[in-house]
Amino acid sequence: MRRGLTAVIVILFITIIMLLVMDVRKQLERLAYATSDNVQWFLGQAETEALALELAAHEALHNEAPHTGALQTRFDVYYSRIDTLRNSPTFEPLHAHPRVLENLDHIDQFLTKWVAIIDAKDNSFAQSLPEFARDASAAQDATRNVALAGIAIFAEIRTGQRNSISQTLTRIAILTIALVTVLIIVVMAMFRLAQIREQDAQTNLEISERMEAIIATAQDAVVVTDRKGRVVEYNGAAEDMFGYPREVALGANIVDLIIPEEFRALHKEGLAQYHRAGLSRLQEDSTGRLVGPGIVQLEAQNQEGRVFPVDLTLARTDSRDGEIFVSFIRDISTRVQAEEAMRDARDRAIAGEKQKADLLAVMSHEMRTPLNGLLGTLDLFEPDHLPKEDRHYLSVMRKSGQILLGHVNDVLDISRLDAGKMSMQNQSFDLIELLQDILDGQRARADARGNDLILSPMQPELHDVFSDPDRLRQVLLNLVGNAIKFTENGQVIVEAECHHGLGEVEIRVIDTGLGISQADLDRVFGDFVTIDSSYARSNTGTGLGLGISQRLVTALGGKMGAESELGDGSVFWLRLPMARPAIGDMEAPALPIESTGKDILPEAPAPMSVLLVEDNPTNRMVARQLLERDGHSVTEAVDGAEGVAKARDAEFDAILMDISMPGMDGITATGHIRQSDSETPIIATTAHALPTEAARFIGAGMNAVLVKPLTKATLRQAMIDAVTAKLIIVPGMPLSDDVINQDLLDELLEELPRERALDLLEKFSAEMSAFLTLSTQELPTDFDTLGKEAHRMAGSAGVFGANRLNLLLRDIQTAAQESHAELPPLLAQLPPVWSATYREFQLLGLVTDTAEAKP
Amino acid sequence: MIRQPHYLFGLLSVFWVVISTTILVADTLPAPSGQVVLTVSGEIQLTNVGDTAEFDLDMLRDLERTELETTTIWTEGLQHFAGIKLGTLLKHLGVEDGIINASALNEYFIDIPFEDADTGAALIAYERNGAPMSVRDKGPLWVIFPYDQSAHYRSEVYFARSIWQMDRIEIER
Repeated sequence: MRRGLTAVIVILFITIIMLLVMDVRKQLERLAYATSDNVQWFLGQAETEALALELAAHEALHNEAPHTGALQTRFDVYYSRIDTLRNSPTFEPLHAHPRVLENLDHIDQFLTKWVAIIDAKDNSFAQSLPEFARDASAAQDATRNVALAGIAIFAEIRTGQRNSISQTLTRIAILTIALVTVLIIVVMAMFRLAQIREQDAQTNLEISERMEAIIATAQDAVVVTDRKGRVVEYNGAAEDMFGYPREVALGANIVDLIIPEEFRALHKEGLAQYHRAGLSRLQEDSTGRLVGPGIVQLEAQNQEGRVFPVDLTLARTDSRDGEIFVSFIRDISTRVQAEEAMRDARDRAIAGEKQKADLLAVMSHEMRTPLNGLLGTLDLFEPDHLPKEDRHYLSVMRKSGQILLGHVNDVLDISRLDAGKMSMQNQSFDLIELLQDILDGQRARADARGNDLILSPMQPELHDVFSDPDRLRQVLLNLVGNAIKFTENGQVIVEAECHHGLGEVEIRVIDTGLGISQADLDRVFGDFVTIDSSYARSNTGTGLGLGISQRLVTALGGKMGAESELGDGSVFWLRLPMARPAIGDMEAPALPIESTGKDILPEAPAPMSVLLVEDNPTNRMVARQLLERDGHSVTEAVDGAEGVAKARDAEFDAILMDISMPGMDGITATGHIRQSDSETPIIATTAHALPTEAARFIGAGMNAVLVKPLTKATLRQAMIDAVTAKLIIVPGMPLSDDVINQDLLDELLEELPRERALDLLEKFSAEMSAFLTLSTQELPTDFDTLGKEAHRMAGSAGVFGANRLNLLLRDIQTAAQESHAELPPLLAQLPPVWSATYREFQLLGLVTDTAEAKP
Repeated sequence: MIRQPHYLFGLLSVFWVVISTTILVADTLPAPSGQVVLTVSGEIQLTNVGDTAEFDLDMLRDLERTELETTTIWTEGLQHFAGIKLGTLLKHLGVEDGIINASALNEYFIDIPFEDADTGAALIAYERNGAPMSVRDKGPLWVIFPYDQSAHYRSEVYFARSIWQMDRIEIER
C-alpha cells in the first residue's frame, strides 16, 4: 500500500518533470531556430531605408538635373520593406497595436499615392519632387514610430518568452528537489528495510546454526525428507545408525535407504496414497505431528542389511521448498531384546507355574481314586471278628487314610482355585442358621478342650443373604476348627454384622487362645504354613487351610484377615458382599455343579406333559431321555414353526424352547405362542448365558432360562421353577476349556443306556468327520451352511461334555455369521481339538478305533 | 540579341551545363543585352565587362533552372520559387572556392560561406509564384534556402543569408 503510493508519487513527479522538460525543450527550440528574423534589425533597417529615401528625395530636389532612377530604386526598396512589414506573419504582433497601425496606414497612403505617380512613367514625378520630399519626410517619421513601437513590443514578447522558460525551469527545479527528496526518503526506507532484513537473516542464521548444532549432536537419528521421500537432512547420529555417510544419504530416497526390503513396496504405496488423499488420510494436530502414528515402532535397515527395531516419531511441516517430513529415529534393539528376554522369562515362569498346578491337580485326582478304594475296602472289614489289636490297627489305618484324603482334597482345592476352575454359586440362604449349624457341629470338639463356643446375637437381616453357603461353610469350619485347636479352657466367639445393608457382611471368629506373633501373622495365609512346631503335634493340617480359605473368600468377592497378640488370642475376620444380586445377574438358586451328588438333587416334580422344541437331534434325544426318566411325557418339535403348531394343537404343562434354530427361532416362536397362550411356562434353552440375552428372552415372554448343556439336576430344577411360576435363570455347566467335562459325560452315560450312548457318540463322530471335510475345504464359501452345521455340531459336542470342541464350534458359528476374516484361524484349530477330544473318548473306551470314525 | 527558337535555347543550355560540368570553362561570357541585374566580381574565371561578369535576367535564365517550394517568414503561405543555384552560377564562372560576399540594393551585405553554394542549398530566385519579382517585391534576385526542409535553415544565420534585392556578388579568396 505504502510502497504503491510512493511509486505513484515518484511516477507523477517524473511525468510532470518530463512534460516540463519537453516544454522547455520546445521553447528553447523556438529560440534556437528562430521563426522570426532579427526583428529589431529589420525595424531599424526600415527606418534606415526610410531615411535613405528621404535623403535621396532631397538630393534629387537640389540637383539641377534630377535623376529619378536612383530615387525610384530607394522607393522600391522602402516599399518592399513596408510590404514585408505588413504581410509577414512575423510582424503580426505589431498589427494589434493602434499606434503602429496608425503609422502604417499613414505609410500606406504615402506609398499608394506615389506608386501611382511613379508608375505613370511621365514627368509628373519629377515635377512633384518637392511634395515627395515632404511626404517622404513624414513617412520617415511614421516609420521611425513603427520601428520604436515594434522594438518595444518585441522586447516585451522576448521578455515574456524568457520569463516563461524561467518559470518552467523554476518549476522543474522545485519538482526535481521534491523528487530527489522523495527518492532520498525511499532510499532511506529501503536502507532501513535492508537493515531489518539483514538483522532477520542474522537471527535466522543463528537459529538455523543452533538447530543444526542440536540436530548434529542429537542422540536420535534425524532424517528430514521432502514430499517425494528424498533425504534433505541427515545428522551424525543417523550416519552412525544407518552406516551411510551424509553425502550418500542426501538426495537418496529414504525408502531405498533405510526401509527393509520386504516393506519397501508397502511403504511406497503408503506414500503414494498419502499424495493422492492429501492430508485427509493422515490428520494432523496443531503441532504438526501426524496424529495417527505418534511414536511408532518400525523396523529399519542399515547399510550392511541388518534389520533392527526403531522408535519413529514423524512430524510434518511446511518449509520454503514445500512440505517436509522430519523423522526422529531411535535404535531400540537393546530395549526390545531386554523386553523379549523378560517376556520369555515371564512366559517360562507362568508355564512352570501352570505345569506345577496341573501336576498337583492330576496327582491329587489320581491319588484320590485309589485312596477312596482303600478306605472303602477298609470298611469291608468286620471289626467285631478281629482281635482287639487288629481293630486298633484298622482304626489307625482308617484315620490315616482319612487324613490323607483330606490333604489330597485340600491340594485339589488349591489347584482348582488357582486355575480358576472352581465356580462359585450365588444363592439365597440363612447365614445365622449356617453359623449355628457349624457351631453345633464343633461343640463336641470344643467341649473336649474345655472351650466355650459362643454365637453373638445377630441382626435379623442376616437371615436372608446371598453368597455361596457351601464355600462359606468350608471357610468358617476351618477358622472355628483352628480357634478350638489353639485354645484351651477358653472361649471361641463367632460374631457377624452387616454394613451398607448387606453390601458388606463381616464375620469374626475370636478366640482367647495362644495368639500369633506379628511376624507370623504376615505369613499365616501362605501355603503349607504351620506356625509353631509345638502346634504341629496337635494340628495335623497340611498348612493349606488358611490359604484355601483366603482364596475362597477372594473368589467370593471378599477379603480376609487376622489380628492377634501373642498370648491374648486371635481374631480372624472376613468381609463379604452378601446383597441380593441385580436382576440381570440373577443366578440363584444355583445348583452346586461340583457336587451333583444325588443327595442334593431336587425331588422330581409331578409328571407333566412337555413340548420339547429343539433342532439338534442329539440334544433332543438327551433332553427327552432326561425328562422321561423323571416321568414326564415328551412331544418333540424340530424347529420353531413346528413348535408353534404343536403348542396350538395341544395343551402342555411346560415348553422347552431352544433359542437358535433354523427358520423360526425360539424368540419368534415364543412370540407366536404368547399371542394365544399366556399361561404355559416356556423355558428357554440356550448356550448363550449372557445376562443381557437372558433379559431379552424374558422380555419375549419366556419364564425361565436354562443354560446348556442340560443335566439332570438343572433340568429338574428348571421344571420345578416352571411349575412354581418363578422367573428364574438356571445356570448351566460352566464351560471351561477342558477337553472333556467328565462330570457331564458321566451323567450322560448314567442316564442313557450304554449302547444307546455309544451309538450316539459314533454318529456324532461320523458327523464331525463330515463337518471337518466341509470346513477344511480350501475356501468355504457357503458361510450360511457352515454356520448352521457348526451350530448343530456345537450342540452335540455340548451333550458329550466336549467343552473345548463346543466352544470352538460356537466361535466358528459366530464367525461364519458375522466376521469371515476370523474363520481361517478358527478352522485351523478344529482338527487338533477334535483329535484331542476323540482321544479322550478312546481312553474312556467309548469309541473303537475304526478307520471310519478316526478324525 | 538573336531570338532563337525555345527548343534550341533548351538544347543550348543543356549543352552549356554539360560543358560546364565536364570541362573547366574557358569560354567568354556574352555581354548582357538587357538590364543588368547581377554583377559578379572578384576571383572569377569568366568575365564579360571588365573584370566582372554581368548578367541580365535572360542570361540567368539560360543557366540551369531550379525550382523550390517553401514557406518563408517574410511571406504568407507556400511560395513557389524558380532560379539558379548559387553553386551552379559559381561553377559557371569557374569559382571553386572562396567567400561569397553578396550585396543588395539597400546596401545590405552578407558573407555566404562557399559551403552553402557547394551543397546546393542556396538558390538565387528570379521568379516567385510564376512571375519575375520587382524590386518592390524583393526582386529581382532573392537568395532563398529550403527553410521547410530542415530546421537547420530556419535559424537566424540563414535568415540573414537570405538576401533579397541582391545585385552584386564578390568572390574573395
